[in-house]
This record gives sequence, structure tokens and C-alpha cells, in this order.
Amino acid sequence: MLAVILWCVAIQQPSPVALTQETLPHIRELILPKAAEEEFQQIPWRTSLWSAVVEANQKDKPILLWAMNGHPLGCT
Amino acid sequence: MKALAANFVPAADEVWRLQHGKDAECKLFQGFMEKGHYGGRVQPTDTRQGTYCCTPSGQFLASCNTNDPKQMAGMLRTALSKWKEMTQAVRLSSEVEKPSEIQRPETKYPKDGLVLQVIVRDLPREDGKCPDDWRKDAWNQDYAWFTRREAAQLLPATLEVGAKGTTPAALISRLARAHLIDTVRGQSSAYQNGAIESAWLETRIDKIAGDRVSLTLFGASQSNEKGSWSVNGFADMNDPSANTRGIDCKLLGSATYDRSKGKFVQFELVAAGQRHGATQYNGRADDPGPAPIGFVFRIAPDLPQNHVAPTNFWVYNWQ
Repeated sequence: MLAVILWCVAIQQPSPVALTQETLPHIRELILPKAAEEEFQQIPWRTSLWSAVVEANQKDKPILLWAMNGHPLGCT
Repeated sequence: MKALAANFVPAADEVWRLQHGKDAECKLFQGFMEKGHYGGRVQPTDTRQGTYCCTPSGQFLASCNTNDPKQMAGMLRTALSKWKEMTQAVRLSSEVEKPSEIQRPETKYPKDGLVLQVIVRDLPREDGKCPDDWRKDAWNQDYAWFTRREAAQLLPATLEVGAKGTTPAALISRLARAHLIDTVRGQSSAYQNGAIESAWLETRIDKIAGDRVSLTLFGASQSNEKGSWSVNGFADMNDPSANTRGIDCKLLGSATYDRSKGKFVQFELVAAGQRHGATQYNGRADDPGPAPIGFVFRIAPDLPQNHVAPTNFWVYNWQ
């Protein structure tokens, strides 16, 4: 009996990619990053090496450069 | 790690341009990159990506390419130790000012237009199958830009409740080519122009309250590219094969345009559908689908970290 109920519930669930006004909020939540996934943005990255060079020279500090194929704050 | 990092001025940047460019910024990087972890390497590629510590004068301090926190912390400590041993005359530069010849796409940032953060992630599969490792949580992001004039073209011609508008083909095609791409697990190139089989986006005004115009966005996009390319990273990099790839998705969302400001103050567009195929670095060689994928396009606040240019900015052809 339980299996039948679960099966009935399952077939009433829309496909996870059936995008409608009703499913939109759920799909949106599935896609958006969670807070823990955005922790790297807690570091105040400057978005170019040169902007860091100018600032570091003024502040007498070393530079930490995260350099990737694809901008690390964009698509890598 | 954050406490260690606070001793530095942190920067994130794209490495290919730094490796190959000719302006002062690139030359500074090229001056120390061969002293780092990938110095001299040409196989399987000559990339110099990773994390570097250097001085404003361009002196190398330390580097690594790891996501291991202990190794990273060790590298930062080594760099700080070397920094402290240097005199100011060595570590600083008397010639640092923003050189006019540095031309980055970020200079085209459309401050008065529409800047969207693009997030892409796999959606649950009906069979529930997904590798039980980092890939099950993988996601990626990018930025999509619209000039003020382009953003206005998303509106119906008449701003009255019930009015409908059709986004110009060039704009929605650009969105499909440059942003509706499977980059969940890694980089993938923009679609060729002919790969967009269908792409449309319509808007409908639902409500007007004072200067605020509320809209519903709806549409769809189908891309299908055929050709010969590699799909498995370094393994088949010299042995491309016949392949196809594409995205078939619906688009749905909402937006609010402020007439007094002449810009969108709220914008969120979700795309969901199926992806198929693989490209060299997007990690789909053993998982080409078809399988569900989703995108969210939402306003990126005007903050420095959100000024990064779209990865496939060349598709925009902005002069």
C-alpha cells in the first residue's frame, strides 16, 4: 500500500526541468549557490592584477594573485 | 587562511591574457611566472594558472596550484617571509601608475545598462544518477552585459499593462551563443552563430505602479552544434572526433523597469532544460547526457567584483 502511495506521489511530481510559474521558485533555488559555496567571495579580490599592483605599491604590501584559465570571479 | 590572506592585496585575473599579452600588466606577470610552479612546462599545456605571490615591483615570492588549504597556507607563509627579507627599494616600484595601454574588456562595463550574474548548475536527474564526488555539487558563473540601449530593447514598444514585446533576435541569439552554455564543470566555448536553431524571448507588462513597470519574461532556446573537437581534456587533445553539443531550454522570469531611472531595478530569468554533448574542458566526456541543466540570470550589483567581463565577450562585438 505504501509503495502505491509513494508511486502515486512520485508520478504527480513535475519533471525537475519542466519550467512553469509553479516550478520556477523551486528550480531557481536548486540553481543558485548556497552561502558556503560563495565563501571565496569573502576575500576582497581585486579584479585585475594591475589594480592590485597599484594598491599594493601604495600600501607596501605583497600581492596574492589567483590566476586561472577563465577569470576566477567569472567562468573558469 | 583569511587572516593570512589579509597580509596581501588579493587579486583574481585571467591567466591566458597575462601570459600572452604585451601591456605592462601582462609583462609584469611574464616577468615572474617562469619562477613559479609551472615554470618551463609545455606539456600537456603551457598554462601558468595557479596562485602566485609577488611584489608590486614584480619580484616573485612563492606560488602553487592547489586547493589544499594547508599547502596554500604554507605558500602564503613562505611568501610573507621572503617579503619581509626584502628592502622597500626591491619590493616596491617607483614607476607604478595605470598605463594607458592596458586595454581590458572591463573598460566596457555598461554602468548605466544591465549587468547580470549568470549561474549554471546541473538539475536533478530523473534516474538520480550522478557521480558521487565534487561533480554532483558543481556550478559555475559568468556575467552577461547589456548596454542601456540594449536593455531598453527588452521592453515592449508601448509601456502599458498587457503590452507585449519581442526581444531583438541579435540580443537573444547573443545570450544563447555566449551564455546558454554547459560550463557546469568547466570552461566551454561559445556556440558558433549557426548553432542557434531557435532562440526567442518575449516580455509582457503585468503592472505599472508609478515609474515602475513590472514584466513577465518567457521564451526558449535551442542550440545544436556539430563539428570535430576534443572532449576529454588532455587525453584526446590531439585526437579530435566528430561531436555534437547543445542546449534545449525554456526561459521564464520577471523584471521591473524604473522609468525615472531608465533602467531595470529587478531582473531574474531562469532557463531550464536539457544539455547534450561535451567539449574539451567541460568534464562531460563520460556524461554527455542528455541531462537536465539550469541557469539563473540575475542583476549583479554594481560592486567591483561584479565588473568582470563576460567570458565570451568577443561574441558581443562591441566596438
